[in-house]
Formats: sequence, structure tokens, C-alpha cells
Amino acid sequence: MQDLKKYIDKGVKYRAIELAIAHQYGNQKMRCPVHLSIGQEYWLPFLKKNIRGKVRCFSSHRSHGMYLALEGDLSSMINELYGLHTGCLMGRGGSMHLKDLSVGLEASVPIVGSSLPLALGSAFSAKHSKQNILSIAYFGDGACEEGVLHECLNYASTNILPILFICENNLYSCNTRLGKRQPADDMIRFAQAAKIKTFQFSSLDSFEDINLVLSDSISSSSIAPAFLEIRSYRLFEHCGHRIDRECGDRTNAEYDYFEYQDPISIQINQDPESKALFDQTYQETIDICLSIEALL
Amino acid sequence: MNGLSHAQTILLCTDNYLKSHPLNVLLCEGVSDGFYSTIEGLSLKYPQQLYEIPCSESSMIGMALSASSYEVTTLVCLQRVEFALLAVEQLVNNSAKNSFLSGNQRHNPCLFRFVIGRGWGQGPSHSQSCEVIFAHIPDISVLMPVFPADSKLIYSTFSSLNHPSISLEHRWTHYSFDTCASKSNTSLTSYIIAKGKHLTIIAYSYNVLLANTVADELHKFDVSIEVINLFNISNINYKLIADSIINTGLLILLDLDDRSFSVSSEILGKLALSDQLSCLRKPPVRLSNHGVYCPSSPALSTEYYLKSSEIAQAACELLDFETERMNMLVGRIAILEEAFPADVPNQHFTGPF
Repeated sequence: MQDLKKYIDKGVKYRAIELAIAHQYGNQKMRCPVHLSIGQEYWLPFLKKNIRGKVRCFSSHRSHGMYLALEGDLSSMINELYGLHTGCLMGRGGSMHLKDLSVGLEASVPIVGSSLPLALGSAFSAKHSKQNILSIAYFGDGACEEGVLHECLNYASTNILPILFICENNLYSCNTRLGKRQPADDMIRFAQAAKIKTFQFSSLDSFEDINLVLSDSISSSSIAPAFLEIRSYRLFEHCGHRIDRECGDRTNAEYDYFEYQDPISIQINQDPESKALFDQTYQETIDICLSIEALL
Repeated sequence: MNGLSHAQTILLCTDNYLKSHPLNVLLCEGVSDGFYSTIEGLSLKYPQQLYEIPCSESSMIGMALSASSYEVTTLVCLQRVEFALLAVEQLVNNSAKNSFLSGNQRHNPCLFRFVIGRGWGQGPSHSQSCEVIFAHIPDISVLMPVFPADSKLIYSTFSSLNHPSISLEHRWTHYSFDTCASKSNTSLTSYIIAKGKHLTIIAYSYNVLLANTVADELHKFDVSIEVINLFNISNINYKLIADSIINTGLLILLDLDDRSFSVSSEILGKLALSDQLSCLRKPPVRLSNHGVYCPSSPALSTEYYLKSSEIAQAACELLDFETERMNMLVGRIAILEEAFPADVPNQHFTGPF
């Protein structure tokens, strides 16, 4: 557990950053849609921990998580949210298009499922050129309702491409619960239909298990496609900076259940060091924001 | 490459493309089927570089767009353009946008060969050439080759561009041969295929061949027609057009697809905005196919497609030909048109598409 502590604390930092962004967003100075990853940070540091060698990641619109997981530059990210030329996309993309080529975040595409073929192309190119590069497609349960996912799974399996499909199933597409959109609640069934090896963990699992599953799935995807379903719960609204506990299909009881078991909140509440780290990171992020806002 | 047909030239160019670098790849549904003889035998010659693709146009086109920004260069062949409509999302959202967002650090030169056609092999689901749909997307070259040299230029250039290229390849142009003018063109833009001083015809794709037929016949009546092959509709040479109509004072524009929101609309709009239509002695004429969708029946499709004789009639009217002279000319062209069935490009064509 002690070995994992520094990674757990990275998750705590990501929570602080996202909450600080949420706080400042209300000032109306970040004038782009934001899709916060609050509730979905706990596993992100373990992704980077287990990546060996070169990686090319392709995210959905909820791109803060993958940007932070790959340790993209924080200041560049914040600058991008404010639409500045000093942002990671020179102000061209905002929150939904985050990328940092230096750390392997190749693209984030807000159109649901749209970045999946890009990850496939990366894997295809790597395999044809015999380069040892891992390609990661990161998407949500909503993308599993897009036909292009099935096309990509089919091709990756048939051609044995080195690609890891990471589907973070947070139960919601905007405010619509999974049960209204799909006849079953697991996403691995799509990969199994394409004869792709599957893995799963949830926010209720221990960090040790999460680390292990991520390690196994990444190792597996270096030689053949793998599909990892991560079961999380988004604690903020689909798009914006507010908590939406009674919007759409959410109920108070459901929200309370997941909020109570949120692994990052538990860590902050139980470990004074983590709490101090949270406070420090939160303030540092607020300070970055304020320094930018002062110039706007 | 002198003496080779357009299809033979494409085969040779594709061979050279694959031979030139092992990281150059080709993706095609039915990769061993020859693709209208334009990749015949290449799956045996370059088995490591030719990839079979499933009926998954959206992911395959997205994959090709992406792969070309990394280690490989991709060339994708689709049997008809309408299949590419399943991938419009990828073309719109991921064509050159990733390069824009990365500050030009992710160039993705790649080539899509989408086939269009006429007559036998077409039908309601294969009615349109869709060039305007693709031309609306920023940073895609939309090329419409007519002659072997056009495709040769596409192949020699596309991989040095920063963005994707689409070649809308008319099935009936596969039988064309080069002219002196087509061989002397050196850039991916419009060029004059026949010089003239009495009338300008602007055309692209197969319609250039129809215009050439009319120009040849009118030449026998001491009328010279300037025919402009637009070639690259996303990079039209407007100065060439303006100079031509100043010289001739008369203009016919031929659209391959429907006339609303069309290539001719764009050209006329640009010329009007820069007051370059005022040199015309008569209002410009534009022609295209008749009706909305192409019927499958050979008899009905004859009525659908634009014919050389119609272009000739429009030309005669603009040139104030006397009725008798006009009838004689149009009649001569009609005889040429009726030499073999209207739904095939030549008497040797036996289908199926």
C-alpha cells in the first residue's frame, strides 16, 4: 500500500485541480464547455505508472483526466481553458480538445466515438512499421452506442493490433442513465463479441487491484487488442461546474451511495498528508487561474 | 508513360507508390479483385503493403487519416463515392483538424480514391458525384482527374501535401488517353485542355471529354472553343478562367452533379463578386444532368445524362448559329453519340460496373 501511496496522492492532486477549475469556472472567464472528471480520477495515476515505452492516447471530450494522467503541463492546460495562445492548443481547442504531444496525448475529440478510429490508425501504423508503441482509445459508455466502436473492435481483433480500449462506464450519457440506453450494464460484452480479451475494475475495488488490472491490461494490449472497462461515477454535471445530484435520471440516494464510497474523498478524509496535498494543490491551481484572470 | 490509358497509368502509379517505400500502404475492400484493373496483381507483388478492409468505411477512413500522421502513408480505394458518405463524420471532424489543433505538427497526407460513374454501374444509389460535399471540408484537396497525366500528378504530389486528398475518379475516364495539353500541366489546379477564342467551356471530370467532343466538331465549322479542365475543384484557377472569358466573351459551365449549390454556382459567384462577368456578351449558360436521381434502366438513364449534343446546341445558340447550321452540327454529334449504347463508355465495355 505504501508503494501505491504516491499514486493515490496523484489522484488527490487531480481532484484538487478539477475542483479548483470548477470553482473558477463560475467567474465566466473560461469561456468554453468543460467536462470535468471529478469522481473519475482515482485510477488515472496508475495508468501512467504501468505504461512502458512510447504511448499514443486518444480521448473523448472528457479529456482533463487523460491529460492529467499522462502528466501534461498544468499551466498550459489552464491557459487553454482561458483560450490563451499560451494554452496547450494555442487557444484553438479549449477543454474538449486537450492534447499534449510531448506526453502522448495525441487528440481529444468531442464527437462521441470519433477518436476511436484515430487510435486504430495509430495502432495500425505502429504495427505496420514494427514500432513498439501502445495506442490507447479512451471513451465512455455512450461511445459503445456508436457503430464506429464495433467497426474498430472488429478491425483491431481481425488484424491483431496493439491497442488498449479503455471504456470508462460512469453510468450516464449527459443526464440519461445507462438502463435507458442499453439492454445490459456491462461494456465488455461488445469486446467479447469481437473476441477481444477483456478486463474490468470499479471505483469500489482496492487500489492494489486497480493497479494490477491496469498492469495486466496494458501488458496484454502490447501484443493484441485488449478492452478495459472501468466502472466509475461522475460526481459533477455532464458539462459545467456544478453538482447535479437530482438532474435527469440521478437520484439523491444513488448519488449519496457513490459519494460515500468515492475513493479520493475517503483518502483525503483519512490521511492528513493527502489532505494537506489537496489543500496545497487546490490553492496553487486557484492562484494560476487568478493570475490569468487578472490579465483578462 | 505515353500511350497508356488512364486506368493503366493509375496501375503503374500505384505500383510505383508501393515500390518507393515499404511504409506506403493501400487499403481496399476486395484488395485482390483488381479495382477496375487499377491495382491488378499488386496484392501478390506487395502482400505486406496491401490490406483488406471490412465494410467499415467510417473507421477505415478515420484509421487512414490518422495513420498517415504517423509512420505510414495510406491510400484507400472505395468502389463508389457513396460508401464514403458513411465516413463523412471522420472526414469532417478528423481530416486536417488534428493538424490545425497541433499547430501543424500532425500533417496527414493520404489519398482516397472514390469512384464515380455514368450509365451501366450507376443507379439511384450511385447518382451523385458528391464533389461539393467534400469541397466544403477545409484542407482537403478534391481532385477530379480526366486524363492519365492528371492521376500521375496526383500520385506524385499527394504525399508531399500537409493534408488529405480525395480523387473522385470517374469510371469512364479510365479509358482516356493523354493529350499534349494534359501532359504539359504541372500543378494541381485548373488548366486549358483546348485553346480557343470564340467560347469558353468550363468542365471537370468526364464532362471534359464531352466538351472536347463539341470543341472538335465546332472546329470543323471554324469555331474554336476554349475548354478548361478544372481538375482540382478545391483549388480552382480563377485567373485562368477570367482571362479566358475576357478573350472569348461567352461562357458555358458544365456541372457533374446537381446544379444547386454546385461547382458552377461557386465559380459564377466568385466571378460576379469580382465583377468579372461583365466581359460576357451574353449571360452564361450552365448545364448538367436532368433530374434528381439516375435511373437504372438504360432507356431512362439516356434521358438523365448530359450529352455532347446538348452542349453543342447551347454553344450554337450562344454563337448565334443559324438554325440550319446548328441542326447540322448537332446532328453530326448525335450520330457519334448513337454509335454505341449510351450506357457504356465504349463498345468494349461489358459491365458489371
